[in-house]
Order: sequence, then structure tokens, then C-alpha cells
Amino acid sequence: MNSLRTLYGYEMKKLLGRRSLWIVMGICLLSLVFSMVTGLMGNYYGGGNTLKECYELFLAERRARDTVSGRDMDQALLEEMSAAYRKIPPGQLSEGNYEKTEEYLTYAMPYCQVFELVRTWTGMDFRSAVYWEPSQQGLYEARRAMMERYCRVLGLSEKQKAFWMEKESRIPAPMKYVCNDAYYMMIAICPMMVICLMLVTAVGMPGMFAEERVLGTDQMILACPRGRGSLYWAKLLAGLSAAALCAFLMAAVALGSAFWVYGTGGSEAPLQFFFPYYACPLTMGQACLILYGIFFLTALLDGVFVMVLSELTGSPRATMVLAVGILAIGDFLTIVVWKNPQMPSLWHYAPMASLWHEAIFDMRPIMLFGRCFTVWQGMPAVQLFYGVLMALAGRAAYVRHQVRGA
Amino acid sequence: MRLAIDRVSKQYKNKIAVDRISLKLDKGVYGLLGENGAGKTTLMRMICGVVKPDSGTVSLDGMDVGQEAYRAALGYLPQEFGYYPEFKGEEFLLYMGALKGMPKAEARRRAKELLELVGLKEMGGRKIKAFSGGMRQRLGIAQALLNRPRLLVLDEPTKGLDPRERARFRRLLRELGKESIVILSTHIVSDVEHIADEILIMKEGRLAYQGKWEEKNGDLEAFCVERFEEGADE
Repeated sequence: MNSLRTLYGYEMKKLLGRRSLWIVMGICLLSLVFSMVTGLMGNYYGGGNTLKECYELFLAERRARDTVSGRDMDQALLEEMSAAYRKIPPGQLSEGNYEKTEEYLTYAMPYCQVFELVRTWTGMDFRSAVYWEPSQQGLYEARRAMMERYCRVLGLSEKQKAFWMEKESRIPAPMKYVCNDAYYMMIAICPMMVICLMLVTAVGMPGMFAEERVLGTDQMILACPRGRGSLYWAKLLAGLSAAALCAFLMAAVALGSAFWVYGTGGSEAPLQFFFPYYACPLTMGQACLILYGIFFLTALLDGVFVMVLSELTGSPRATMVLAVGILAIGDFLTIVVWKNPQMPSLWHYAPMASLWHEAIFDMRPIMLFGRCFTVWQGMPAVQLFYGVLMALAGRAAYVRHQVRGA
Repeated sequence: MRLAIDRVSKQYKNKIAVDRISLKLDKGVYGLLGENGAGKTTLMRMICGVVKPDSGTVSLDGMDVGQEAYRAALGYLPQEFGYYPEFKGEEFLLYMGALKGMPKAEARRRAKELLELVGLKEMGGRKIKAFSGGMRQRLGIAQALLNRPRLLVLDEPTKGLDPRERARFRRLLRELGKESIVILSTHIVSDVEHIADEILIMKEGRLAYQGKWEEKNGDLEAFCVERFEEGADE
């Protein structure tokens, strides 16, 4: 145990001493901050003229939305919303035009997120939504009907449908509207974080095993009593710690910059403001905790994957290329599967499923031991399974490793 | 103490690198000579357990080469000494000490002792990337001696050493050979001529000669050349 701890310390030093790791990490952290604020940069144009600075517009919208934040989406709010939107001149009632009207900016802006949610749930186009006769009961019935339709589109079994409908019944109606910019951005930035994570692990981890061969230190190491046993686990633990550290830094930067730019409020906002089709009584704050928890586990899984790949290929460069390639293909396939509800949900059992945040809140449940689990409930078990499997496969290869070359 | 090598063979694709070599080595210094590609390095790697023989066994006092106890008794300096450029000299030895399962305090004491022995006392706190080739080689020798090995395998250990260092190293090996089995592979015949208790000559994967060498026998280098030119079946 002592030698494992000592070796772990040295492996951490080797890993964290890589300049390339910190350069890529720095670029990724800057990119995350940039992604968080990029929507607020520049000017907002209309009719060929600069109307406002984007940040100024955001502040104005935020101030407007704050006036209705914390209110239930009940009959009263829906009527206020409808009346406000009807003040927009009929000639301007088309996407891309109405946002620039004085009437929208003065009256309708506070209700913009509620209005969008109403449109999504009822399936109405913009003009129909403006002239919709507001009805609290009608809205929540439309949502329930939409959820049932969605379950059919996904081809869910009766058992699976009952699983979701039970969750749907626990979503409070009327739902409360809360300004949620910071949490919205923290969820929206997850794909970017995953890409950054893939890059950092692809650059930082391949050397973990393969570089020993490049440096020629593998011969001395393997001739040592702890060289084939404890060292493998020490390297793996060091790699996992570094991956966890990178994930933590990325999450901290995402969280810090979101709170700094958009404020800290909004954790209690219903998740349906981000995923309107999701049937689970979760808040945005809880969803962030789930996503960042899974992101953390993904970092560990990704770390194991790259390290084991480095042991199998024996070349840091080949590992880097393969890791980026395989993870990028996995990410792409995850998006394809998520965007095509008819496709089988088997992909949720693949190690790559956690790479795409929308797949984590997919309605196709994970079936384990005959029971239904939400993707985010089942995913840690799936990730743990693959992680252990890969670690053991890597160990089997490492123990058998023989020195090659002159 | 006895190292038993029993009919070990290793083949790489179409080339037989080591062909059914059997040896029984007791305490002493053994000079392994041979041309490039004769199989010296492969044999040494098999003795160190970093290359698995296709057939045959290697054991030290009954312990198989695959056992941890065998490797605990082993010190190895490969032909190409690999190092971590960002590690300091002493730190590298401590890392190797941890790999050899040595307690921290003992490893620290032994590292200081060996840095002094190989003339790197002043360089222990410097990064290895700042070392000269000869200094790196001496550090490699130090790591091989860290665990006071009973079986010391050195592949081209004098490469990069200046004549003074070489002479000092030969004296050191002579001392070590009194208590351990020291196998030394080299191209430089003079390195083994005066210190080796026994000479092993390899040719095309086989043992062409094994025996003691005394000055009265004449010039070892000339003898080696003669052996290289002859068949290996004598």
C-alpha cells in the first residue's frame, strides 16, 4: 500500500509536469469562458441598423423577465402574457421581426420564456400562439397529450410509458417560472465541456503508458518487483486523478463564469425550461448536479479509455489520434441516436452515451434487471461497468507486455 | 546463489535471436561478448524477465524469473538507459527505489550513498536533462545497484564513460562480483578482460565459448575475433 502511494505521487508528478497538458487545459478553459459570454458580445441588428449592444439587450430582457420570475404559470400569468403579445402589430407577427418592435420590448419581453414553452407544449406556430385563448387547464392538458404522443414516437412499451407518466404526474401544475440564465448556460455548455475534456485527456493521458516505451524506461520498470503490479494501478489512479482534476477545473470555470455573468439565481426553475419534452420533476439546479456528476464520471471513463489505449498501441501519437477519432465518432453517433427517436435505445448502454447532454435526459429508459431507470440513473452503473472492464483489459495487456526493439 | 538458464530460445519472425542456451552461473563477474545481433541483449532481457522466452526457463536459486522475489534480487541497466528529463537525479533514484519496493528512508539513504559512489553527489539535485551522457550512464548504474542486487545485469554499461570512470567502474564490479552474480555485456573487450571471472561469447544466438580467461592465454580480443569468424558449433 505504501509503495502504491509513493508510486502514485511520482506518476502524478510525471503527468502534471507535462506542459502540453496545461497548454491545452488553458486553451479549453478560455474557450469555455468565451462560449459562456459569446452570446452577449457584439451588437444586435435590425433593419440594417444597430439597435443595441447584445449585452444591453440581455440586461433589458433580464430586468423584464425578473418582473415575472417566481410566479406560477397559471391562468393569470397566461392572460397577461397573451395580452402583452397581442399588442405587437399584426404586420410584425413573424419570427425574426417581432423581437424588434417597440411593443415587444415594452410589453411582451417579460413573458418571452413562458411564451416559448407554451408554444412548444401546444405545438402552435408563432401567430397562432399570440391569438391563443389562454387556458391553464388547456396548457397542461396539451403538455400531457404531447408527452403521450412523444412516448409513442419513441416506441416505449406500456411499462416504460407508465414509468414516465408516473414521473410526469409529479411535475407540479401550474409550473413556476423562474429566471434561469446561469443554469441554462451551465447545461447548454456541457457539449463544449465534453469536447474540451476529450482534447485534454487525448493530449495529457496517452503518455501514461506509451511514453515509457518512447523514453526506453519500460525495460527498467518491468525488471522491478513493483513494475508489473502496483505500478499499473498507480499509473491508472494518477491518470484518473488528473482527469478528475481537469473535469473539476472545467466545471468550476463553467459554474464561476455562469454565475459571474448571469447571476446565481434560478436553481429552482423547472428543467422543462431547457428540456420541454422531459417528464421528470427536476429543477435546473438538480439537472446541473446530475450533468456535472455524469461529466465527472465521463472524465474518469475517458481517462481509463485513453490510458488503456495508450498501453495497447504503445504510441502516444497513435493513441492521441485514435482517442480523438473514436470519441468524436461516439459523440456524433450519440447525437444521431438522440435525434432519431426510432433508433433503438441500445446506444445508452454504450460508453459514449454520456458524451451528449441531451442523451442524458432522453426519455428512452435504461433497463437493468427488468426495471426501468432514467438514463442518468442507469448511466453511472454502465460507466462503472465499462471502466472496470477497460481497466482489467489494460492490466491484462500490461502484465503481458514485452520489451521490443533493439 | 545460482542463476540457472535452461535451454532458453527466442525467435523474432524469421530470426532466431537466442537458440537453446543453457548456463549455470554462480557468484562472480561474467563478461558476455559477441558481435552486433549475436543475441546478447535478448538473452539479458530474458534473464531480466522483460522478454519472455519462447521456450526454456530462467531461475535464481529456484525462483522463476516471473516471480516478484526474483525481480527483488535483480539489478538491471538496459543498453539504452531511459530517464525522465524533468526528474532530478536523486528523485529518479527514489522513484526506482519505490519500484523496487524499498522503504522510503532506506531508498533515500541508499540513493545518497550511490550518488557519491558514482561521482554524482553534487548533481543529485539537478534535473537529469542537464546531465551529460556519461553522467546519465552513471545514474543508470546507480539505479541498478539501488536494491543491493544478488543478480546484476548490465548491458553495455561503460558506454559514454571516460577512461577514468571506466577504470573506477571496473573496480566496483570486481567488488560486487564477490557477493553477487554480475553479467556484463560489452563490445569493449578490455572492460571484461581483467575483471571477468568467466567469458561468455555469443554468435548467432548460440553460446560459442564459455570459460575462464587468463592472461597467459594471450589476447582476448584476438581470441574473440577468431571465435566470431569460426562456426558456433565448436
